Amino acid sequence: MNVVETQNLEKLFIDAGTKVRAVDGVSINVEEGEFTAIVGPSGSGKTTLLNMIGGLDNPTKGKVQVDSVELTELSKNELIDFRLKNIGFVFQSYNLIPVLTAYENVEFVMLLQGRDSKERKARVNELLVAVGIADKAKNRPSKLSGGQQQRVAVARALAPKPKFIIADEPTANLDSKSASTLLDIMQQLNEKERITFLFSTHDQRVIDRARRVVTLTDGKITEDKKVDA
Amino acid sequence: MIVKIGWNNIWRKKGRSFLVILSVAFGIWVGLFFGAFQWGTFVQKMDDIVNRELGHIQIHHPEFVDEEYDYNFPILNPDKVRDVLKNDTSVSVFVERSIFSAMLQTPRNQSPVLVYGVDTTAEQHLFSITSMITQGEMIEGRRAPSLLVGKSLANKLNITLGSKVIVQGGMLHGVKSFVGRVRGFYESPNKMKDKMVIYVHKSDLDTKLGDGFTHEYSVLFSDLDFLQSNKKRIQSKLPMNQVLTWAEIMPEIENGIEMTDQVMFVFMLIIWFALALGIVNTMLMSILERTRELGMLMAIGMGRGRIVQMIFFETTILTAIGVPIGLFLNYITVSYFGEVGLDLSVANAAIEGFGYSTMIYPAMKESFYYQVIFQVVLVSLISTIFPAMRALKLKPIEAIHKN
Ligand SMILES: Nc1ncnc2c1ncn2[C@@H]1O[C@H](COP(=O)(O)OP(=O)(O)O)[C@@H](O)[C@H]1O
Ligand SMILES: [Mg+2]
Repeated sequence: MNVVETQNLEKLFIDAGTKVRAVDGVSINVEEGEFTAIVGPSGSGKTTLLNMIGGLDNPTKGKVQVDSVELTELSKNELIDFRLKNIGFVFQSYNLIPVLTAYENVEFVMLLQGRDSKERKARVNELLVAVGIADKAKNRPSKLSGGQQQRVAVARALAPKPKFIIADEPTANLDSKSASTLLDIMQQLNEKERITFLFSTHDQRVIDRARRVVTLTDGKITEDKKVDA
Repeated sequence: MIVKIGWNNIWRKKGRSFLVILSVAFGIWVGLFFGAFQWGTFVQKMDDIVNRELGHIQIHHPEFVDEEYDYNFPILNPDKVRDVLKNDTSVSVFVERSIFSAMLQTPRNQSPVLVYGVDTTAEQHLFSITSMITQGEMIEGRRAPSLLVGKSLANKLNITLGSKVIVQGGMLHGVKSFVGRVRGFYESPNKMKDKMVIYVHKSDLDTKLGDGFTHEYSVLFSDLDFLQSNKKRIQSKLPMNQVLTWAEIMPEIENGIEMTDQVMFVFMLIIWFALALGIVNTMLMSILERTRELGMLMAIGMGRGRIVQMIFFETTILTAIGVPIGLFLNYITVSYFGEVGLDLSVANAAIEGFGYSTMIYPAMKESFYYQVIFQVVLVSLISTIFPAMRALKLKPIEAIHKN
């Protein structure tokens, strides 16, 4: 089953009179349980594509379906709600709420969803163990390293059991050891929880871990290959 | 959790939050103190003039006031008036006065005066004449009636204690006059009165003028709240005479109160404006600083309603902290100045000229608390609307990718 389906997705930016076709006719299907990397040099349109798939940005043309729901047909408020229920996000930075502890950050989205406290507690603890932050649950983000913060962000994105997780260059600000740990964790969770991961990167070591690599060049898919484990 | 985020956000930039708290506290404080000052002034005027001199209502001959306190218009049927006042349960005190509009003549000078014939014993309950005496005394029953003259009038006419003066007034049927002896000086908070009014025992005046007139009944009620209905009731029982409230007799007091209300309003407007500016500014700064974070919150699914809720929660907390601080500051200053008094004589010679006391004792009225707190809370919530709208305009992607 396809978690994500796009058809001829296009995004046109008009910036100071010059037109930039950041995403130019992208059709891509992502199946449940995939661990897919969108790769390409800086400016190739990775972020723009992921934003449209995640319902953060409207396409200029084309269609995006997430779990068979056409995102372009949703209102702003419906989109916020849809994101809350179905999509987990890991950004390059500024993922966490600085005034909350690691534990509370993970719990936050579940709270927004109105899950009861028992369920929250079990899930948050489980995930903090899974990402290896259990002993730092009470720390605020400023007391965590960049890698630890990204791990908390992954746990946060996973907490409400979304359909899939979008991670835009999650390792860009990390040293290679932290990046590798983060990838390990993402992979484990992908296998254990069958959570679909869609992430972008231009880091070769990260690309090597993906099981499907989609290459973007100037907003177009130029390569799409599956890697056997 | 939203509560927790909001709460913690407040303490992120302590200085800034402190500024909001301070402006709320300051708004409450200054607003209340100014109110207390106004109220104190009012209470003072009431006390100086109404409670201790005019009375809550006065009864005269229907033409007495219009004819500028003409001696020839005494109270009609004073026995009936006395009877009604004695039997009315809302009346706490009343006194009788006779008023003789005359010229005070010394061998060299003269000046128009109002001679008040008073019963000093009865007046004790209303108008403590004896407490105003700065020199001498008022002895009853002398052959030449003892006169109590305002110190400023005495200075003007060069009158010393023991001076003999002639009091002469024009009557319908000729002139009436008598010789009196100045035996005391008084000073009241009302400087205009000091130049105009001289006091004599009513019995002495009756003897000298031989009419036994009463021109004025001055009445205090036990409760000022029912003034209008009390006035109506007494007027209906005494149709031959005229009943006036203190405000009708001295409209300038009430006008003064209305004017201070307007000043208060303008003053509060300035406070609101300053408060609103402070809050809009700080909250806006706080939101702009958190652009990325708010964008991220919106991206991961925090709805607009919740963002607005969080921002309002922050202002609410800051206000809730500021209010008691303001109340406390107000409590301290009002208690202190309520005891010691604020001397306005330097700043406001004009007030003194009007005949009001220049020492003001700020006093709180319960309704001030509701009014000022309500206004300040309202202003701070309204001023949060603009920053909150600003936060809603943020687009998550732009906010997140802003570097
Ligand atoms: N908001 C925007 N306005 C104008 N141009 C944009 C905007 N966002 C991205 N672009 C342009 O679109 C292209 C793709 O950008 P992006 O999706 O960020 O690429 P990547 O994430 O692969 O680095 C770039 O040329 C970039 O300059
Ligand atoms: Mg990018």
